[in-house]
Amino acid sequence: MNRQVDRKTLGSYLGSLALLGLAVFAGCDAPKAQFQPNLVYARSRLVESNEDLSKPEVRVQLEDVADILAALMGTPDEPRLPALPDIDWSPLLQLDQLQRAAGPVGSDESGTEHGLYRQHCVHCHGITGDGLGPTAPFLNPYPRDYRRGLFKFKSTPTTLPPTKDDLHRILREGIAGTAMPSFKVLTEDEREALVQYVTYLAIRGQIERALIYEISENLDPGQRLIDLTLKEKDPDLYQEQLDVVLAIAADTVSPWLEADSQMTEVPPPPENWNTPESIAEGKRLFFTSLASCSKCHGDLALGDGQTNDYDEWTKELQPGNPDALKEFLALGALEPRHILPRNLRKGVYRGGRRPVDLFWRIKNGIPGTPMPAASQELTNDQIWHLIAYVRSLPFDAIALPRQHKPSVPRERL
Amino acid sequence: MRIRALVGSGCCVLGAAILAVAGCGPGAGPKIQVDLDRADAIRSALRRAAGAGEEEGGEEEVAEPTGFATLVGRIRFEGTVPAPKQLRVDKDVEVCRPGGRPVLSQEFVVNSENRGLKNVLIFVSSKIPSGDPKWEHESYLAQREALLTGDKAFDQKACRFLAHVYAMRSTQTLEIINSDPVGHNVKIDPPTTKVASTNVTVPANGGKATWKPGGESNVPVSVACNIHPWMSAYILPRDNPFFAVTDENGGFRIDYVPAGVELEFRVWQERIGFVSGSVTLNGQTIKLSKGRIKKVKLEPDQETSWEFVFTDALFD
Ligand code: HEC
Ligand code: HEC
Repeated sequence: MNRQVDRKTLGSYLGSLALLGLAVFAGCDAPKAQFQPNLVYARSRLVESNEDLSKPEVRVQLEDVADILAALMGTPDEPRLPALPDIDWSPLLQLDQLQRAAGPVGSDESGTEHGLYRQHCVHCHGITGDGLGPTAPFLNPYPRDYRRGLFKFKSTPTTLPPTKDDLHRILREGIAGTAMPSFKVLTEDEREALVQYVTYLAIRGQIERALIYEISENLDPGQRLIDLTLKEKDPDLYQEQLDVVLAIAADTVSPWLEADSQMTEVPPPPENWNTPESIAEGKRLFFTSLASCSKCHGDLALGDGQTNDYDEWTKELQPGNPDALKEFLALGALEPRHILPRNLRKGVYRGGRRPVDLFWRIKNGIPGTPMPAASQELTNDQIWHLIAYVRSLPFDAIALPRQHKPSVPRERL
Repeated sequence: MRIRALVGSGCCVLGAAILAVAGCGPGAGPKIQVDLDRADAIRSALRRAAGAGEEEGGEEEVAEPTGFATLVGRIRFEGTVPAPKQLRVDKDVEVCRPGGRPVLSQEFVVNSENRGLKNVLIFVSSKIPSGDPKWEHESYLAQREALLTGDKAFDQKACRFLAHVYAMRSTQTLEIINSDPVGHNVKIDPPTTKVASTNVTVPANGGKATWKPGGESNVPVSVACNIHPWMSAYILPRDNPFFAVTDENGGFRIDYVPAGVELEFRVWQERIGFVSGSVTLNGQTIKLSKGRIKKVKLEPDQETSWEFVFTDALFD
C-alpha cells in the first residue's frame, strides 16, 4: 500500500469522525481516490496575486472544470473515454487497458491484476499525474508532471507528444541518473496498460489546462463553461458551450493520434563517424555559433554555461517573484529548482545511451527544457559528429592534454 | 453543489486542525469537489452534442460582408508613465549591451512626444471563414500561405527581438533570423495545442529558422531565448488576417476589413493582457471586458478612425 492513500485515508477518517452527521454525502470523508484540481494553473490564469481562488465567481468556474473533466474522463477508479467528433481512440487508448491500470490495487476473479498505476507509480507521480506523490519533494529531478502533455525523451519533433514506443522505452529502461526506475520486471502487457494510463492522465491534464485557459481568455468573471439550465432558456448558447468543450477535447487528443506516424527519421552516420577526425569535427562544432552547445553546456561541457534558467513546469510558479512564488507553494507546488544543462563528462544520458537516442535529443531538443533543437542549418552528418564528440567526453580527462584514444567502440544503432 | 462545498471545506478545516498534515489534498486553496450527478448530466449532453454535429450539418445562414472597409486609429496614453524596468544582461555583454548602456524592458513603451502607446494588439476575434474571397480581399488571399521574409521576418539584433509584439496568420510561415554575431535559440510555448511549439537554435550572423503556427490563438504566444533569458517577445497567430500592432506613434491600420457584418474586436497589451476597464474611444467612455469591442459594423469603402485614450488607471 502506498503512503499517499494511507495518509489520505487517515485524514478522511478523522474528518468523518468530526462530521458523522454529514457523512452520508460523499466528500473527502469517502476513502475514494480523487483527482486534484490544477490550482497552480488556475491561480496563474484566473486571479491576480493575493486574490482568492475560492471567491464565488471563480469557484463556480473551477467546479465546472472538475465536473466536465469527470464527465469526459471519469475518476481515478472509473476512467472513461468520451465520444468526440472525428476522434477514434482505439489506436491510442482502450478502456479495458485503462481499467487495468486504474483503481485500487487488486485482482478480479479471472486473476487479472488492476491498480497497476497505484501500485508502481503513484508515490512519485501522484494519483492525478501531477508529479506530486508523497516521495516527490525528496527527488531531484522531480517526477514528471504529465498534465502539460510534455515529455522529454521521445522520437518526435518538439511540438508533438511521444509515440507509444517512446513511452514503452521509458518504462522498460527507466531514466538513468534520476529516480525513475526501470519496469522491466513487469510484462509487456502490463507496461502497455501503464503507457496508456500515462497518456490518459496527460490528456486529462491537458484538457483541464485548456478549459482553464478558455475561462481565463474568453469568459467573463462568473460566466460558465457549461450551464445545463440554459438548455431551455438559451439553446443557442447552450449548444455553443457544448461545442466549445468538445472542440477543446478533440484538439487535445488529435496530436496524440498523429505522433506515431511523425517519428523523426534517423539517417545512417557518415563513413568516418566516430573516428578521431569525426570527434575533432564534433568538438569544433560544439563551440561554433552554428550549434551553440557550449553556451549552455559550458566550455568544458560540465553543464555550467547557463545555470540560472528554469524549465516550463517551474516557470509557471514565477520563481523570480517571491510573493507570487509563496502563493504557488501554498497551493502545493514544489520548491523551484534551476534546470541545469547536462554535465556531458559523466556519460549518463537520461533519454537513453544508444546513438539513435542522442540523435533525437540533439536533432529535436528536449521539450519543456531550454535544450533546443539543432539549427535547421546543421546537417545530419554534423549532428553525428557532435554525437561522436559528446560520447568521447567522459573518456577525455580535462586536466590532461587532449589525446583521443579510440575510446568508444562503435556501437550498433 | 452547495453541499459539496460545505463538506469539502468542513472536512479539511477539521482534518487540518487535528492532523496538521494535508487532510484531503496538498496545500491550501479551495477544495473543489466533483459533483458526480452533474458530471453524468454533462456527459449525456456532450454525448448528444458530439453525435449531433455531423448529422445536422446544415449550417445556419450567416450574414455575408457587403464589401471591405478600412480601420485606422491611434492609442494615446494619459497619466504617469511608469519607469521602464532595467533588464539583467549578464551574458555576451559586448553584443547584448552595446556601448554598456542599460537595456530596458519593452513591456510598456510610450512615445514621449505624442504619447502614442506602442505594441498594443488589435484584432478581429469573431469566428469568420478563412481564405474565403467573400471575406478576404485578394491581397490577403495571395499572402495566405506566404513565407514572411525580408522586412516581415522575425529578426533579432543586440539580443533583442526587433519586433517585440508581432502578429501573423496561422497559415503563414515565419522566417526567424539572427543578425547577431552570437548564437540564439528561439523557444515558442503556446498555451494551446492548436499552435505548434518550437525551440530551435538559430546560428549567428544571419542564421535562419522557420516556424509555422498551424493554428490560431486568442492570446499572443511568448517567445524566449534560453541562451539569453532576458530576451522576450510575443507573436499572435490568427486564422484570419484582420489584426494590427500599434507602432511607435500608437498608430494602427487594418485594411479590407469585412464590412456590413457585425464583428468583435479585442485589444491586448503586454502588461495587462486583454484590456479591461474604462477607455475613451473617439471622445466617449466605453468599458471593455477582456478587451472586447463588440458589435462593430463598418461601412463598405469607408475609412473608420478609432482614437483611443488609455489612462494609467487601467494599468494599476
Ligand atoms: C521513485 C520515483 C518514481 C517512480 C516510482 C516512477 N517514476 Fe516515472 N519519473 C520519475 C522521475 C524523477 C521522472 C523525471 C525524470 C526527468 O525529468 O529526467 C520520471 C519521469 C517519467 C516519465 C517521463 C518521461 C519523459 O520522456 O518525459 C514517464 C512517462 C514516467 N516517469 C512514467 C512512470 C510510470 C508509468 C511509472 C510507474 C510504472 C513511474 N513513472 C514510476 C520518478 C518515478
Ligand atoms: C539553451 C541551452 C542549451 C543549448 C544551446 C544546448 N543544450 Fe543540451 N541540454 C540543455 C539542458 C538544460 C539539458 C538537460 C535537459 C533535461 O533533461 O532536463 C540538456 C541536455 C543535453 C544532453 C543530455 C541528453 C540525455 O539524454 O541526457 C545532451 C547529450 C545535450 N544536451 C547535448 C547538446 C548539444 C550537442 C548541443 C549543441 C548542439 C546542446 N546540447 C545545446 C541545454 C542546452
